[in-house]
Amino acid sequence: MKEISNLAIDLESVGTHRLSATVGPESIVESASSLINAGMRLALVSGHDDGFSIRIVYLFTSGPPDRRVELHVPLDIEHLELPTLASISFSASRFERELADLFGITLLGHPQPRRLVLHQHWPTNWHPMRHDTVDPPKMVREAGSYPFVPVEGSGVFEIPVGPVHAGLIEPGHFRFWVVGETILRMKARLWFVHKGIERLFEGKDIEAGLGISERISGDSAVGHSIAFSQAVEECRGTQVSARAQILRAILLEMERLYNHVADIGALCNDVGYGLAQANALSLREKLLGLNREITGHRLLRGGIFPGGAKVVRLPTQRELEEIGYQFEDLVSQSTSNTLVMERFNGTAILDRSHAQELGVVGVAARASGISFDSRDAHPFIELGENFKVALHNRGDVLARFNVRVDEFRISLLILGELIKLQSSLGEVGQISENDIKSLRAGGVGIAEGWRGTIVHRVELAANGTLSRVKIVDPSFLNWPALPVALADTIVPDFPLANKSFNLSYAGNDL
Amino acid sequence: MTNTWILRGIIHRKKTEKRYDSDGLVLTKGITLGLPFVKKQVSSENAIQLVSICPTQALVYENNKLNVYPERCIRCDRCVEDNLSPIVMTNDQPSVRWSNPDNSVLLPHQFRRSIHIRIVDAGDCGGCYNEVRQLNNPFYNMHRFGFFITPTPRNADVLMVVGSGTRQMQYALQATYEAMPTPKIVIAVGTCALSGNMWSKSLTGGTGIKNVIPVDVEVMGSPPTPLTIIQSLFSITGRQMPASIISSKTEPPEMKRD
Repeated sequence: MKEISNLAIDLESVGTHRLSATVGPESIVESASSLINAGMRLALVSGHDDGFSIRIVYLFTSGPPDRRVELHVPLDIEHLELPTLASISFSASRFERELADLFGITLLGHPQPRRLVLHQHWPTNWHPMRHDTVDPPKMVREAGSYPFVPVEGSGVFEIPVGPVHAGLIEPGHFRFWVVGETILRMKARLWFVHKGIERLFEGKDIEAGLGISERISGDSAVGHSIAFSQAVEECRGTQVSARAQILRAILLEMERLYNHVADIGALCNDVGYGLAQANALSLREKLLGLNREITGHRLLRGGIFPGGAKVVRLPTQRELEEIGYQFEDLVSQSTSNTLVMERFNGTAILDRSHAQELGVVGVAARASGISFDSRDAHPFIELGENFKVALHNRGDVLARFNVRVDEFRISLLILGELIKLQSSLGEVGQISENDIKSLRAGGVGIAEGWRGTIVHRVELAANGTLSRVKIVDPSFLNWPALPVALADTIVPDFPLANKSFNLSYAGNDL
Repeated sequence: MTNTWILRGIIHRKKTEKRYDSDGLVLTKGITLGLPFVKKQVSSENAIQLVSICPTQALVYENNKLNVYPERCIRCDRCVEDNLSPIVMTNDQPSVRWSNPDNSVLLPHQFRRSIHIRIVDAGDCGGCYNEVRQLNNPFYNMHRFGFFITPTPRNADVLMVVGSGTRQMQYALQATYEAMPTPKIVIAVGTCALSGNMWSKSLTGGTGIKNVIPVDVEVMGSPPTPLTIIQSLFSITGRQMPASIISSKTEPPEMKRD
């Protein structure tokens, strides 16, 4: 990796690992491409309504070693025109479309400048993140209907599915174009559960913000609250005690356990192996019951807060052993079944080059051979020898299944180690707080939730309330990978492929 | 490994939660997570202070009285952190109730056994949906009571809705409701579906599904436990009419936007 300090951008240090610079809209393409060429990943793009201008913040990250670089691009409110980064980063092109919908920014040279977040029935000049927008408008159909790309030819059929699905999945509309059983093209149309979460954060105090961040994606309550808390702590200059960091890591791994086991069961269920699903669900219920005893909530809410972490009790080594025993039973049950393995093997392949181009993170990336894990790249705690990045290369459903199995095992080892370690430390220490350094600098929190890297960027107002929170759930980056992986698979494999990614709709739609 | 599962089933024994204790009484453990209750009135400054920290306007100060509307409570416990707080979380409060008093006469005659349920997510975070998914696990095993999840609204008796009814889901929710044959029942599960939770202050979040379709049964909690959800299904079949289901209530005031 090239040294970032050698680049032609005037960077100043704003956080522990963070550099920042202000560039004009004319030089953003050049600066961004130099950072991407230096091996950095575009983690987040957020807009800020500063009144007289709209400021766009690009956050690039890389690691290890943990590096974060921010580019601020102020746009004049009269000329909201932004040159696109679509040619150098695919995820940038989606962030930009989000900006266009929510802030009304005109994208210069964007290959696909159509709506992303707001559905077609919203009025064309209504941008919910602008501060002058106060009331929800009347629904009109100015923007026409959704521009699905037509697929034509003899024997091509179109299958619309959703947003109300036959199974128990969250709302999203999928449209397949098939010949026989083979999928030619699939388009996922989301944002049915868009709740305007980012706007909701504005003006809230920290505690209310924490409540919202726990409900961004119900099954990633810990991941999101850790990222939010870290961002707030960086804003305020809070030092978190070592024991609180360990408790956070424990809760994060507990969340990974109950979600991965559900996915393993659901994958088996989607190929008709209900027995494994029943066993997985009973193990999951056991974990949820344990969670209830750990933080008082079945989904581990209430454990993390800015400045620290709290638990009622921790799992004992014996409980972990029992979970491990039941889990190995479940795994051997499903992997010894040839029918299950036959369906997993070679289904819905996402190859490494596609995954890299799309900027995929988390389980899906590690199953395609990309060794990226935020616990390794942006660690908030040393996890010891037991931790390693679970890596598989095939990119099919089996690889994603195996990554989950490996991560479950690694998490159990980490948990055993951390629980031993925390008992040797005292109570959560005093929290030291410094003055807010610079309001514009904000804070960034990165946590490896069970789906992948969760990034929050927080800015505080002068009175200590939240002025802007930008959230990037891994689902936002991973959704475009699903249609790519689905090419040339058959329609009955769609639920299986979808489950193997298991992306959040609520976290994506925000 | 696989062919020994019957044997292992016998070894691990039954996991399913009991419904009745040895005396044949309905078990209520785990039915509710606890709901807020005002045990004593306090001075207006204290009451206004409490109302200001409630993120979902479950606490309301009206007519010189501190009132609590448990259907809006998300159990963040910010109001009970202080030991001197006039609010307590109690388990004897009902978590399931009917929206319409007439239902107590109508419903038990319309539905008896074999209830088919269509579940719609209308803007849920994943929390309530997670608990609804647990209904079919070996612990709760909804099938043993004759409750089934059906893939299509055309076959459904009950529409179970989670989530706040976001603007972009409202049309789909309405269409699902209209596709169902009569008689039909709507169960709103969770604080979001009842009042919009914290999303009701948002421009696109929705203020609960009762503004989109008529709601018959309300299940409180954020999220409610699986046993509470099963309880709500029992209540519409008339097979169990526990004291925790009431039919009278007062309407809370409109949610205020910031």
